[in-house]
Amino acid sequence: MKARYDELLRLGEQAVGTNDFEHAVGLFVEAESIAREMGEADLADRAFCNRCSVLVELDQGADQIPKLKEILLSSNDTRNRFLAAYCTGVAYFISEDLERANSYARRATGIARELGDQTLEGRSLNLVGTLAARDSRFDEAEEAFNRCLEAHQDSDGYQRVMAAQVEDNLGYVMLCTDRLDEGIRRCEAARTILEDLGAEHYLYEVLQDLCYGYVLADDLENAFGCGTEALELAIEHEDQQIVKNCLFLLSEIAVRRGDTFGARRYLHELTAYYPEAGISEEIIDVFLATDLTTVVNLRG
Amino acid sequence: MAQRAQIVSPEVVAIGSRLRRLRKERELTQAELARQIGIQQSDLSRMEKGEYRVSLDNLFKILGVFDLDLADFFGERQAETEEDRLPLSREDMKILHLMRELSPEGRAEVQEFLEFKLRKQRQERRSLATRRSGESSS
Repeated sequence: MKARYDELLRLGEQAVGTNDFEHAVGLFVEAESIAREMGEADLADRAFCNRCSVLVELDQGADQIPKLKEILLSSNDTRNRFLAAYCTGVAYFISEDLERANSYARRATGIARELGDQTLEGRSLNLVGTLAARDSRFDEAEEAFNRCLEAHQDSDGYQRVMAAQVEDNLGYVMLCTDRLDEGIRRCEAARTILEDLGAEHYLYEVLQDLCYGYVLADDLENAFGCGTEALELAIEHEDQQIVKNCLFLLSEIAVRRGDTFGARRYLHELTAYYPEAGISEEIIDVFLATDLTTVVNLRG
Repeated sequence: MAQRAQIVSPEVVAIGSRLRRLRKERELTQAELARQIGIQQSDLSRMEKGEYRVSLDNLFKILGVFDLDLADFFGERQAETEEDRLPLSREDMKILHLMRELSPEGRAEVQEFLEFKLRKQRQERRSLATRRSGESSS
């Protein structure tokens, strides 16, 4: 039974590596059930935490927080405690409780250090950096992403996807802090890796960031190409935040090209996401008259 | 490295100070306005200091709270008022007369072109100011 458990865990991780998340969840559920049959609580917790790591990727982890906290507080297995802290952090992040998310992300980083596991430390540092970037604490974000990249050196499989995400995050921070060339270079490097790996699920955020970088650099042709591709993928993957950001960036590109009609079209689509504000021409005029690219935080 | 990462855009600083002014004009405390926007008071405080970039979601919430002062919020009205105070020159008058002779479609095209040129000019000024602030800090 233990061999079957190990095999299921291995296959689950493999499925995560190929972005087959639903399949991975099924494999981890089966592994957890086998571990419970064997009476192996730590193994069951490991499978449960692995399942939660996938669920949070699918924005479905919030329901698991109580059980994760239980593991964090009571497990004797340090790796399980790390996974529990990390997943709790991501779940809070998704449910917009950023203070708690930050606290659990830092706790996870501490546990990873205790373990001496650089890969795990990199994973939690990416969350720490993401939270800092969202909060416009770009210096802290940069430090976390740099340390995270060190941890991801020579990574392969799913770790390469994660490393590419971190590279993109670091690129975004650089774009926000007026280092356009290096920021764009890093985002382009992330794009190449994700395209090679066929990791479409992660690609559209990179394309959004590239669009932003090219807008700031006034390279409107590249900005438009990245922005339209990001928008299409974000619509396909139902990522509303990226859709809104792309509509905003594409309206800015249209304005700079002198295409006020096109800009209005994008802005009408954007304001439709904010029914409480109403589709007011006055709001659209504000966007048309004002360059807000250095005011808005796409990670916010 | 940390010093570079703390660069704040002049636009964020300008909007932060306008936000503080509008809040005070409406006699709102930071806590009250933060509650209306739906953000943490600490975030609003950093926003007013120009240390915090807003998400699109929060930007729309702010626009909702200050619905009557949008142009003021983004500094457009102030610029227009200053320009309005200047008398029209002969050259201004000539442009206005030419505009009057145009068809409505023609006027719309010219207006669109003028808006485009104006934004371009603002962007150039902004990048020049950013370059200058970068040179002076290095």
